[in-house]
Amino acid sequence: MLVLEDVSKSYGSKIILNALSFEIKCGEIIGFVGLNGSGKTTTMRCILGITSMSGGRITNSDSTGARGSVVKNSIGYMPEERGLFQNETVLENLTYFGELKGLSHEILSGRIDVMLREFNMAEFSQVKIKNLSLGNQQRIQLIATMLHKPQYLLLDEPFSGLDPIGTAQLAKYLQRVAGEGVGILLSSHILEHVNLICDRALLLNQGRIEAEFLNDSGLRNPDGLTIADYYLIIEQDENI
Amino acid sequence: MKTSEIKVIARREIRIRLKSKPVLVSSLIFLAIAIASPFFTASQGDVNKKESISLLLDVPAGELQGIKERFSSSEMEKYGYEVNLEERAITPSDKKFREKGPDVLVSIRGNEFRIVASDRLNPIALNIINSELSRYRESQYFNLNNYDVSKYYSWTTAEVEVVQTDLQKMRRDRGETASILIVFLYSLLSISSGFLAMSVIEEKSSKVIEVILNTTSARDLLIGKITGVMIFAFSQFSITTFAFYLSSYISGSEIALKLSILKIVFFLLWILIALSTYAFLYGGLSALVARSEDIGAVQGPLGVILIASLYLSIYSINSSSHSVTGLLLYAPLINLLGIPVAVVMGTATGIQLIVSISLAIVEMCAIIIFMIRVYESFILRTGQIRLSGLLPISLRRSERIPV
Repeated sequence: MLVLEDVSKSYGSKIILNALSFEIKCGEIIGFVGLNGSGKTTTMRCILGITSMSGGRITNSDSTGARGSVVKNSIGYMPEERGLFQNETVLENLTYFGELKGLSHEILSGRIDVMLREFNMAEFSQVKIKNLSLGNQQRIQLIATMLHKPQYLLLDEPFSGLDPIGTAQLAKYLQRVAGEGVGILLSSHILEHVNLICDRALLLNQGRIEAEFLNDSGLRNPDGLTIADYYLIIEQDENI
Repeated sequence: MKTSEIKVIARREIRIRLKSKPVLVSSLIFLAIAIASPFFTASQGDVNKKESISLLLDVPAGELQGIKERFSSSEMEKYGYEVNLEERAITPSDKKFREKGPDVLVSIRGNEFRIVASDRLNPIALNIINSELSRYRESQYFNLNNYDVSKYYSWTTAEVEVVQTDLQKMRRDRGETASILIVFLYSLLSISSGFLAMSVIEEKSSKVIEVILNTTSARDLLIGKITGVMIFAFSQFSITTFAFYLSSYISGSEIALKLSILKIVFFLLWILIALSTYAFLYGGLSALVARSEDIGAVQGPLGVILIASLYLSIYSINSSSHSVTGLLLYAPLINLLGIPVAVVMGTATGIQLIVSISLAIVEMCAIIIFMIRVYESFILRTGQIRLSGLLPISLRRSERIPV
């Protein structure tokens, strides 16, 4: 289990994350929602250890990394924009990211073959990323994220740019991966997607968790309010 | 520091350069220049021809030895002269002398010390002779054409023959070698570092950096990239230098063959110092830029420094100005191109070189440490970055990414 305890982040006097606490269980899909600038991406970066925390700590059930960051190889991360080398081929990209994760050549080439076939992308292995559709780029990004078989997945807007078929395929894949025990934290502005696959959702507002929604009854909080209801409340507060 | 990750990153940097058409084209241009230049310089005519200068010494016997010592001293060897002293009596009946007259006449009468030179004398040779004799005694310089040579015939004289090894040619050879090496070095620094800057900005703007930093630290990423750049550039320079020498050997040009092995080894090591300094500068400062179109903000100022260094280095080849030499040896960044020129041209003393090279190594270490911090602090930032905050933020450790 990945546990965040009182995680804070500030740049000078500007508070980005304010004593954030929650946990990601293995096999669980958590929706991470909130307005732009609410701190979703910063939270993910803190978990990854690519941004230092001002306070708090992050641990997983196995180990704790330096300065509270989780051991990096246990996490797969997919950024909001495609984090791929556009002028290089699919195979070159995947090989590079796999080698960086410390995978041997034999293991890596086997996994790349299997995963490309699984995502129906085998025929594109020698195609440059810039020549792929956004949906296919997203698939390659996901493969790169999964190559080292991480315990946890952090996905920043994984559905952006996908057509309905691509969205359905990705949702199905994530549910399958979660079924295999991978804990997933995904941020999205599209509530429909969050409702579709998440076991629970956390609403982030101004660096704090404003509310938690459980999927027992279609992602509602204990008061019966949906995420959309909360967005309206936040909007009203801002207008006041 | 994880060497396995650095190796992977370095390998990719080498691979993308091998696949890059601009890099391939520039490498071929380097190679073509390296192969062609010795042939070009070899076709300049017979530059090995030695020329004799006749000196008529009209001096008392007690002064003769002192003057001759000026020509046999190590000072003369410094100028590239071989000196053959050949004495013979000159008489008014000497037809050859009567027709031609001496190139230089040195006359000492009492306290009057005169150097009288013919117009036909090579002006550089005259300068050297004049300079050497002036060290012996304060002299006055006259043009021989304004003198009636015949009136000296009755004096007791001896002719000293000075065989010149063509100082001009020696300087030209050294200058050509220095120019070619320095243009290679400049091109290597600007192209390799510029390519690195593009690579850093591409990773940052495309968000690949976030994925990579999930695995490796920012410091290891930068070190890995620069390792790749240096291996590639070092190989490129070595191949080009080898082609240059091979071409010199085939063409019979002495342009490169006069460089000692020690100087060649120095050059190869110097590439590592110069390239790592500039690569870390370009790499670190590129982290301040978030978009590819803003790359000029990094390449512009550093490019100006590089071009200024190149200009001063080439200028120094034909100049003996001490201030320019000082600038080339000791001015930060400029010295990275200036020191190799001073080494080839022989314009710096051993102590000057030791001091300037030591300073350049210190400069390299300081830039590496500072630029790694700048890279770590700014590689994920995308908002406006104020240059005034660069130093304090970079020196603070709080923004550094945990490893």
